Order: sequence, then C-alpha cells, then structure tokens
Amino acid sequence: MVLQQNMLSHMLLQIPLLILIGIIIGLSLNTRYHIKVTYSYALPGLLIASFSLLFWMLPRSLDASLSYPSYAVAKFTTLPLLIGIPLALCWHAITAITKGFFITQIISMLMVLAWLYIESPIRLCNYYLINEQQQLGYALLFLTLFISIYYSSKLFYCTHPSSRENTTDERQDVS
Amino acid sequence: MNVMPLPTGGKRTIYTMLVVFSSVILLMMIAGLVMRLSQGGVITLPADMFYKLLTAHGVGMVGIAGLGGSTIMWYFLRQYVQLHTSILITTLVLFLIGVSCILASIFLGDFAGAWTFLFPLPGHSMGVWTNEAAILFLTGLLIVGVAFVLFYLDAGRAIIQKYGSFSRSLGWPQLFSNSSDEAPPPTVVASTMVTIVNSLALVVGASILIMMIINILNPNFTIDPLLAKNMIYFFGHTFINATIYMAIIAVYEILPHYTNRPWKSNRIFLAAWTASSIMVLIVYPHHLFMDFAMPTWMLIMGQVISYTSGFPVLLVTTLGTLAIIYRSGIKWDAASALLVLSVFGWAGGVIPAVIDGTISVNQVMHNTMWVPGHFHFYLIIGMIAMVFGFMYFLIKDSNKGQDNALDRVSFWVYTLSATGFVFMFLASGKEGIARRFAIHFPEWQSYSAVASIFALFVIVAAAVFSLRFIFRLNAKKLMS
Amino acid sequence: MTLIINLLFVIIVGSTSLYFASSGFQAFTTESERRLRIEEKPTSLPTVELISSDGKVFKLQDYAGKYVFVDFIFSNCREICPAITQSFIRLNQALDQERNNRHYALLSITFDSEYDSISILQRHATALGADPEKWVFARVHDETELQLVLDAFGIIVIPRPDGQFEHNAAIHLLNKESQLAKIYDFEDTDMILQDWKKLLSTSLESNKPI
Repeated sequence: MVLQQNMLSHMLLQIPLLILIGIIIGLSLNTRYHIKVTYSYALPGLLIASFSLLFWMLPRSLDASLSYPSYAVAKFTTLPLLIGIPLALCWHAITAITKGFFITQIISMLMVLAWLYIESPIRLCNYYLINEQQQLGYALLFLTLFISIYYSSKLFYCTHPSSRENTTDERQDVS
Repeated sequence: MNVMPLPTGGKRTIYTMLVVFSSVILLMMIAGLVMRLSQGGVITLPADMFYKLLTAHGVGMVGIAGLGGSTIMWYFLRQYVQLHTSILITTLVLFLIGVSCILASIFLGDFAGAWTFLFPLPGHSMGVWTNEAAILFLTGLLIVGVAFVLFYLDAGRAIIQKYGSFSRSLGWPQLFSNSSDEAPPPTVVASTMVTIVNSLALVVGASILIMMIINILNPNFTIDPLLAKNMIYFFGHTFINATIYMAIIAVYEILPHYTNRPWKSNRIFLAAWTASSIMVLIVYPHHLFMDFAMPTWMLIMGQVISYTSGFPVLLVTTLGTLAIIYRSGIKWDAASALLVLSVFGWAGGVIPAVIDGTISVNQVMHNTMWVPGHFHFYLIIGMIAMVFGFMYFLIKDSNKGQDNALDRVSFWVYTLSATGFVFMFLASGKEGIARRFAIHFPEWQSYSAVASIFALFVIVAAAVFSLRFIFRLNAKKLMS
Repeated sequence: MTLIINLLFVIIVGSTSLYFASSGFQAFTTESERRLRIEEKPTSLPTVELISSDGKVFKLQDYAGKYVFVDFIFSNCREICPAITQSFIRLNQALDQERNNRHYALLSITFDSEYDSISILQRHATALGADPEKWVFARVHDETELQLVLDAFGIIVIPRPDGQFEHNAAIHLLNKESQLAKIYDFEDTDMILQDWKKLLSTSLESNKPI
C-alpha cells in the first residue's frame, strides 16, 4: 500500500514486484512438475501477458485500482497470474526471432511511454501529481536506455553457445 | 568456407522481390518524370497532384531501395548462415501491405506531406487531407518498418548463431587482437553492420511514428519539433544509407566470379566497416544545418563526419574494385559493367554530398536542386545500378544465352542519361533553383525540360533491364 | 494450426477487453472516461446545500431552467485556478453580449472548506469584480457533503506537501434540468461559445423558451 502513494513506486516497484512473484511461482512450478510448453502455446501465452500489461498501462486502470476494491483485487491477482507465470513458462519456449521481436517492441513502447509521461500537459492519473508523472517519464527513459544498451552489448559480447561448436568445426576444416 | 545452396522457396521469393522491385522502380521513375515535365512547363499538373506524386516518389523510392538492398543481402548472406525463407516471405507480405496503406493514403486520402513526414505537417494539412489519411500513411510506414525489423532480427539471429556475437562477425578479433582465424567474409561483415544500424534506426523510427499518431489523435500530447526532426533524420538517413551498404554486397560477391580473384576481408576492410557503422549513425545532423536551435557541437559533428563517414567503406570498395579488375581479364557483360559503374556512381555521388555537407555551403544550397542532385547521383548510378547488375547476374546462365546488343546499348543509354539527369539537378542547384517547387519560373524551366529528356531515356533503359530479367527468368524456369 | 487458433483466440479476447477498458479506444484516462460518460448520458446531482459568498443558502437544483457553468477552485490557488477564473471572466463577457443572456449562470465552488470561509470567498469575489447576479462563489457546509458533490462531478483533490491542491480542472455545464451534461477543457472557451450558439438556435427552432 505504501508503494501506491507515489506513482513512480506504484508503476516501477509494485507492478514489477507483483510480476516477479508470478515469475518465481512459475519457475518453481516448472522445476517441480517439469511443465513443457510448446511454441503453439508459448506465443499466445506471451501475448496474454502483453495484453494484460497493456491493460494495466492504461492510466484509467491504475486510477481504478485505487478507487475500487474490485480493480485492486484484479490487479493483485492478474499481474502475477497473467503476466508473471506466462513469462516464466513461455519465454524459453519461443524462438530467438520472436524474442527479439518482443524486445524491440518493448523498447519502442517504453520510449513512447516515457515521452507520453514527460510531455503530457494533463494529469493522466487523477490520483497522482503531475510532477510525479514527469519523474516517471524520465525513469522510463533511463530504463529504455538501460535495456537497449544491455541487449546491444549482449549481442556484441555474449558468445552464442551453439556457435562455439560451429566455429571449432570450421577451424578444423581450415587447418 | 562452405557455401550453402539456396532453397527453391528462397529463390522464388528472391525473384518475386526483384519483380516487385523493377515494377515499383519503373512506376516511381515515371512519377519523377511527370514532376520534372510539369516543372519544365511541358505539361500542367495541379499543385496538389504534384505534391502527392512527390510524396509517393520519395516514400516509394526509399522503400523499394530498402527492399532491393535486402534482396541482395539475403541472397548472399544465405550462403553463409541459416536464414529462414518464411521470415523473408513475411517481410515481403508485410512490406506490400504497408505499401498499400501508403498508396491509399496518398491517392485516395490526398496525403501529400512528403516522405519525411516532418512534424507537425502530417497533422496540420489545412484541410488538404484528413487526419485519417495522415494516420493511414504513418501506419503504412510503421508496417513497412515492422517488416524490416523482422528481416533484421532473422539476420541478426542467424549471424549470432554462426559467429557467436556481432563483434566476431564484424571481425574484431582479427582487427584488434591479431586473431589468426580466418576473418568473416565481406558479406557477413556488411550484413552485420546493416543489421545493427538499421535495427537502431527502425526502433527510433517506430517510436516517432507512434508518437506522431498519438499527437494527431490527441494534440494535447505535444512533441518537441526539434526532437521529432532529429529522430526522423536519424531513422531516414541511416535507412537510406543502409540500402547502399546492403546492395554493395553484390559487388563483393559477383565481381570475383568474373575475375577469379576472391574478395577477402583484410584488416583495412574490417576497420573501414567498423568505422562506417559508427559514423553512419552520428552523421545525420547534416540534415539539420538550417535549424539554428540545434546544438552547435552536433552541427559541427555533422559536418566533420559528413567528410569522413562514407570514405572508409567507399575507399576500400573503390580501391578493392580497381584491384580486383586490374589486369584480371575481366569479362565485360551487363552484370559486371553495371556493378563497376555502380561503384563509381556511388563514389561520384559522394563528392556533391560532401560539398553539401559543409555548413557554409548548406546554408545557401540546402533548399536548391543541389540536394536532390546528390542523392539521385548515388541512388540512380550507384544503388539502383547495383540491383540491376545483380539481376543480370541471376539470369546469366539462362538458356537464352549471352547478353545481346539490346543489353549493351541499354547499359550505355542508362549510364549516359542517368549522368545527364543528375548533372541537370546539380546545375540547377548551382543556379539556385529551388527544390520541392511545383511550378517553376520561366527562366528555370529549360533545366527541367532537358532533365525530362534524360529521365525518359533512363526509364527506357530501366524498362529494358526489367523486361529482359522477367523474360530470361521465364526461359530459365522452363529449362529447370 | 493450434498456434493460429490460440493466437486468434488471445488476440480477440485481448483486444475486446482493451476495447471495453478504454470505452472503445476513446478514453484512456479517468478524466476522459468521465467526460465521455457524461456526454453520452447527463447525470443527476445530489441536493446538497451551498452557501454563497453573500451568505445565501441554495441548492444546485434551484438553478433549474438555466444553463449553469460550474468550476471547482480554492481561493489560495497559485497555479491552475487563476487560469480557470480567467476563462470564466472571458466566458461571462462573451455570453453577456449574446441574445438570451438571462439564461445562463456561473458558479465557482471551493473545495478548500477549511480555509475558504464565507468572508474569504466574499473578498475573493469582490477582488475579481464578479457580478453576483451572474457569477456566484459558493462553499459547502462540511467535508462529507463536499465529498458528495466532488464524487458526483468526478473531481479528485489531492493535498500537496506545499499546501496547494492537485485537482482535475475543467468547466462543467449543467443543463436546464440541473444535470451535469458536458465537461469542457477550461481553455476551450471558443468551443463553449460555439456550442452555446448551437444550443440557442436549436431551442429557437423547436420554439421552446430557453
């Protein structure tokens, strides 16, 4: 509840923590029951997560979770159940291209969201102050930068596991 | 290094893409001719139609250059890494859907805000087009962007699967730490560079497109116009430059067939590509010399990098081309001739570009025909010649045999008329004739009229290239 | 095949729920949802007693037969309320010059019931030179009744650390049945005047006295 008093901690601490709880549940389910999700279910699963995330990104939904108990309950259950668990179970089951597609989409979306929060002349949430909204915008901007730099540098320096075999094969060919 | 054979599905998709390329190029060239004729006073075009054609010509040419470049990149990169044909087909289909949206927005919705869709023009048409038309245009561009994002994701995935990381596929171990392993082939180096810079460009481009759509829907969300312009040119400049960096792969791969000398990635080559990948990303401020609100350091960077950005890759490519053909007993046919022409067209186009990249010159020349002069130079004689050269290479072994006199004559017609056409632009720019004007003063009209004649010949030659490709392709298919 | 069916299912369910969650992709914020809802269906307001700056006790329903423009302010406001008040002044001048200028009223309600006493409201009204015939400043008896009014209008007030209040600012139009009928951006006086002209002409056509 304390986390909800400030927009920044509501959006960037409470919501991610709730998702994280879902991820932990999902991972432990996975280790205990060895759930194997195929691609035909993994992609829709991630789509469910995206739609749920979009829903909670609507300023209206955020306000409603503070005004109406029903929305509050919905928030505390759907964030772990519909976002965290699908993420934990489905992420490893999709192809590299789909992963890349999700990551690039998230980067563009975060960039746009950051701009929306910084530039919005109106208060998007009736429960929060306009300067909190701008702080949130800048926080999102840094998050976007961080994610982009993280993934780009990963592409440069993390050696893909399957490629090690390939390159050693080639080296033998050459020699 | 083993070269992997192309799957039939992939081949068929490549052919389809090239047919799409030729048809769109011809249509857009005709749109260009109509605009030049109208500026020359030969025909009268209503001003609104002129700006619709200007928009269609710009967006069409940039898009199709992207598609043409991707075709070449995919065809050759597929020989080294496992690319998915299904992704290539998805790219093509999404591209066509996006193009349909764009065409509908222009010719049904009257959108005429130029391909650069500079903020805030699309949302402020003064009643010329509706907001819906502007949104359709921006959405169309977004879909085309998604198509290319998919294409590069697949390329990036495949490259990393084989080479482990981008630093290795750019040849950094060979460049920086004297690794004795064989460096990745030029195609892989170039593809990596384009994958990196275009992914960044497309992410930024998608963001500004979505921001502008939101702004049109709800004008309360204002956009800093300078930020918007920076984002648009970061995307636009990088994207159009990358088309050449993709198409140049044709030169690296095809010329060795003619000269029996391999094109190897040596350290200078690797250094040049790495340097160019950074510079192509930071050179875009040279589009904003007229914006006094830009920070001075960015403008100075724009000028300095304009001088140097093309040079590394250009230099290694031009010198490499000379080295590979010098006393090699190269067999001249349409493919090899177009490819060698393209290298020099690209090199030549850089000269007016560098002149224009100088702040003091740009202050005077920015809104003259000089600017379309420089980019038509390296797009017509460079980029497009590369794709046509590639097309001739694909049909080389058809049963209709060797190139005939028609091909040879068309090559010279294309070379001479394209050169004449771009020099008319440059000469007009030197005389201070404004660009983007629907109607020209009488004393300007003769320039456009002469340019129209050259344009007509360019179109005839391009039509011959395209038709010969389609006919010989059919013959080849019948054979197999 | 399973993939396509699953995807289609998720996309349909997902977009439908987003469609409803944003009132058909039209209202993404609570504020726009409130405006959309009221424009579609005017809502009745509670019969709470108000006290005007000259001490008169009245209800919103006493205005029946007139169009009332309502805003919510507090006299100590340093940011947005002065701007709304300027809009009210401009609106008052323009409406006064129209025909049928007896058919509207302006009402400013304070939500700082702790500080804004009757005497302070009176001073505030005099300082602005508001004509009490046309433009009334008023407050509510106590916090519970205030909350009733704020909830009915959909105003959310949050106290800030610096003693000011953050609140959603708008101009609210009550129709002749004293229902909340439309909400405007407070800068949008041009739009209000346009609508006002339309309102007058339609009432004249239907031959109803307005």
